[in-house]
Order: sequence, then C-alpha cells, then structure tokens
Amino acid sequence: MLTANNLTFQLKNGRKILEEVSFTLGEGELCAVIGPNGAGKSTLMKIACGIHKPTWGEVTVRDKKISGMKRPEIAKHIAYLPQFTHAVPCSVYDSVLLGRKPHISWHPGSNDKDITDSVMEDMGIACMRDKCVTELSGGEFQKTLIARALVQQAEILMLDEPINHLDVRNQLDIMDTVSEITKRGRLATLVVMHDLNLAMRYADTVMLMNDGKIIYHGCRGGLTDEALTEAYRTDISIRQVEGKYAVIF
Amino acid sequence: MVSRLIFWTVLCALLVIFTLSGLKHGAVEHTWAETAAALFGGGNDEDLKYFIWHLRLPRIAAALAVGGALSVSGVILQNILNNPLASSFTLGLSQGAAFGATFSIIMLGAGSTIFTGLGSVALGAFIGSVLSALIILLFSFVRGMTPQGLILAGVAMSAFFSACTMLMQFFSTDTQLAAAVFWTFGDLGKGGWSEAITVICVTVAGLLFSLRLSWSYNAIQWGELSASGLGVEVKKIRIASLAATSVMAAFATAYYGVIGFVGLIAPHMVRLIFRHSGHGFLIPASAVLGGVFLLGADLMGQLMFYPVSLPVGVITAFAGVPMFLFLLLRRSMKHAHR
Repeated sequence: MLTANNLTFQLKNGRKILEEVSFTLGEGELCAVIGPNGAGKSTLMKIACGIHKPTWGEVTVRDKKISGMKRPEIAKHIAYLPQFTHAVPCSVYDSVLLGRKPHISWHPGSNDKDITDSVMEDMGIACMRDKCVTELSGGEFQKTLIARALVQQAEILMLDEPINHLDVRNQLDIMDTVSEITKRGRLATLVVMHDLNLAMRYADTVMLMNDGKIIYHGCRGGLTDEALTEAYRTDISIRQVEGKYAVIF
Repeated sequence: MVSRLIFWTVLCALLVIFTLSGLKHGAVEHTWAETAAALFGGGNDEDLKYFIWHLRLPRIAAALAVGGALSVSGVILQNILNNPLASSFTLGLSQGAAFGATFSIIMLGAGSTIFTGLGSVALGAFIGSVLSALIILLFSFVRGMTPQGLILAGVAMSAFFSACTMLMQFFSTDTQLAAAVFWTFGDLGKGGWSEAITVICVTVAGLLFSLRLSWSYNAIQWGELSASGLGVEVKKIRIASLAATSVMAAFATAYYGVIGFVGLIAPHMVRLIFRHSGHGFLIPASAVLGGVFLLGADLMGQLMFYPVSLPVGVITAFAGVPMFLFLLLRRSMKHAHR
C-alpha cells in the first residue's frame, strides 16, 4: 500500500539524516520502527507522510506519488500522530472531530459527526466526550489522539512514539487498540517505538534503523541479536519465553 | 457556565444600549424624544439631524467595524503566531501607521486635521502600516523562522518605527507636532460614512476569510506537526492570514488612528468565558464583542469628562494594559507550574 523508494534526507551541511531508505508496507501490517535515538525514525515518518520533502527519493500510496498531492489529499490517505502533542483546552469530542479536517470545507456535516461518534464508541472514550482534554490522564489523552487519527479514515496510520511516558497497563491498552484496528480496518500501520519487548510482541514486521539506514526490515522472527547489538551498541539478545519474544539487555 | 444564548443576548442588549446612548449623547445634548424624531426624519432641528446622520451614526458604525477588525486580527494573529499576546498593536502595525501619518504631516506637509475621504495623512498611515506588515511577512518567508521569531521581529519593527516617528517630531514645528500627536490619539470621530463603510467592507471580508479557515485554525492550535498531519498547509495559511490581518488593521488604523489592546481584550474575554470554544465561535464572538467594547469605550470617553471628549484610544489603553499584564502573569504562572 505504501512504498518508499531510495529516500534520502540531507541537511545543508551535507549530513545525511536518511540514506537510501526503501521499504513497503502492506494492508493489515503493523510495522514497528525501532532504533537508537538519532537513527532517523521520526524523520522517516515525517517524510513518509509528506510533511518533509526528501532530498531524493519518492513515497507512493497505491502507486500514486505523494509529492504530487496537496496536504489535504495526503491527509485523506495518511493519518499522522506526531511525537509530542500538547493538550489544547477543548472537549474530547471536539478534539476527535478535528480528525475530520481533511474532509471538512466550511463546517462538519452530520456524516462527520456520525463517524466521530462511532470511533469514540469503538475506542471506549464516548463516556468522556464532554471532558476537557487538559484534564485527561496520559492514557486517555493518547487514546483521544489515536481516535482523532482514526476518524481521518486514512488507510495508512503513522504513530510516532504513541506509548512514551505511559504506564505498562496503558502501553498494553494502546498497543492492543492499535493492533486491533490495524487488523480490523486492513490499515497499514507504522509505529515508532522504543520499547523493544512491546515491538516484538505486537508488530507483524520490524524495521530496525541506525544512522539513517534500515539495518533490518522483515518479520520479527528474523531479527538477530547481532543486528540489535550493532544498532544499540550494547549487548542485546532475543529469547522466546512461553511462546513470546523477550528482549534481554 | 455561561451559555452561548446568554452571551449573545447580553451582547445584543449592550449593543442596543450603547447605540441608543451614542445617538443621544454628543457635544450637544438633546432629549430622547428629539433624538428619536431626528433619527426617523421627524422634527425641525436640522442641526440635530445632521449630528445624528452624519456624525453619530458613522461614529457608531466605525466603532463596531474597527472593534471587529482589530478583534478578528487579534484572534487570527494569536493563533498563527501561537502567542496569546499577539495583536496588530503588539506586532508593530499600529506604530507603522503612526510613522506613516507623521511622515505625511511633517515631511509632506499634510498638516490637515480634518479628514475628508482618504486624505493624505490616512494614506500615509495606511502605507506605514502595510510597510510594517510587509516586513513581518518577509520575515515569515525566511526558512526556519518560528512564530516566536515573528513576534520579536514585530517588537523590533515597533521600536524602529517609534524611533523614526520621534526623530521626525523632534525636527518638526509646533503646529506639525500638534497635528502628528493628535493623529496618534485613536479617535472614532475622525471619519465619516465613506471611511466607516470602507472599514465595514474590509471587516466583513476578513470575517468571512477567517471563518472559512476556522477549522484550520483549530488544527493549528495543536501545533504545526499535528496540523500538517490533519491536512493543513500551515505555512500558506500563516502567510495568507498575516496578509489579511494586516489589511484589516491597516484600514482601521489609517482612518481612525492608533487604538490599542482591542485585539487582545475581546478574544481573551471570549476565551475566559468559553474555555472550550473553537474558532468557528471565537472569531464571530470576538468580532461582535470587540465592536461593542469599542462602542462602549467611545461612549465612556465622551461622557467621562463631558463636554470634553476623550479619544477612545486612551480608554482602550487603560482597559487593555491590565488585561495584557494579567495574561502575561497567567502565562508565566502556567509555565512555573509545569
């Protein structure tokens, strides 16, 4: 569904943040992007959703180049949740409804409101529709943001570190939701994560990045200790414990 | 929690009260009956008819239009520059206008204090305001320029234009100095119908423009990256909005002089009453509140030291400075608690 071809992002001083990155993402695929800080994960995400233009290379959605699309059109195909989002004082409902922005010209219609109601119901946040966003807990806030991305009704979901600063219960809750909606909606989902155990637990495929390059992209079973050790520059090994992957470091 | 119905009802009531008071009160006092008769074409007092139809009604229309224009400019600038203290006044547009007017009066000898149509002083003020806005706009094209950088550029431009104005005033004659200083007093009595209608047209166009983009402004509130993810072309909207607000502020200031703080007071009053309001409500509510506020301030200026009429800019500054400091304090305390 999403194809990136030879993406390179070079700064004016010549430093390459991304170097010839290529990958494809299919329907119903949840891909975890992992790698150390500064590996180029967030930059890759911003380029893949058209916010930054690559120095070279191209991103296509269903064989259509996003460089030829305007931002509202891209937003109809790709929903992007940035790494840091501050809370704005508005109701949870209005916050989620804002996800219909790419489809709204003057004012949201009844269809936009129906979709918002339905997604909020699905995500289990309908009970707090009138609550102020600034009064939400970290987990509730993150769920609200994911709900907003879902009402965009895009076929590709890009989440940049959606579970950072959350407790274990909320991390599992959010990742369960992301995994479930990816499968149910046949979405192509790219999630930047730092928790290797959660990445191995939920992802269908793993993309390991280091120094602006993809070191490994494939099913989680194929990821080796050596690749992780090389990327993070510390000893890391993957074990199977009771049928689940455990990353030990 | 104040409902929107109560808000609009109170605003409408105030609008009616201020409008009626504005029609009755002026340099010459008349009874309510005489005022009503003159307003609806009756009575024999031709002077009163002239006062009402050619001085007081255009003044009321100007108050509503200028208040609306400055408030809508304030709402938009606060959003696109991500700073609650942004307004055409704090960005240096008003100081640019003052510079232009002073230049016309002192350097070009346009010392007229009576405005008929788009006089040379108003034209100078308009050019000064647009010049200031263009410089800020040029800064916005600089790659990597942040909204905070634009605010600082506005502060610098404001200081620069103030210095130029003072320099010209230093070398001017007493008459020129008096005319230039008089112009800087924001006063709604400066214009007639043609000026009021021009500002009304610009304000309505600006209002429609900003309402069309209200959902984009809602998205921009969440930050540039979030807005981009929602399909908003942030840079384009920032530049177009900066241009639109500059035109609104330039017209209002060129005809009526420097009227500060309206663009801060009205939007923040609405935000204080309706904490969760989106821009679809915030923009029209601020426009109407700003208009009614300026109308009330103008009325207060006329009645406070009657028969001496104070320029409305003085009243808005007295009301606006505490609001400005309150916002600054609130913001600082919010940061301190983080």
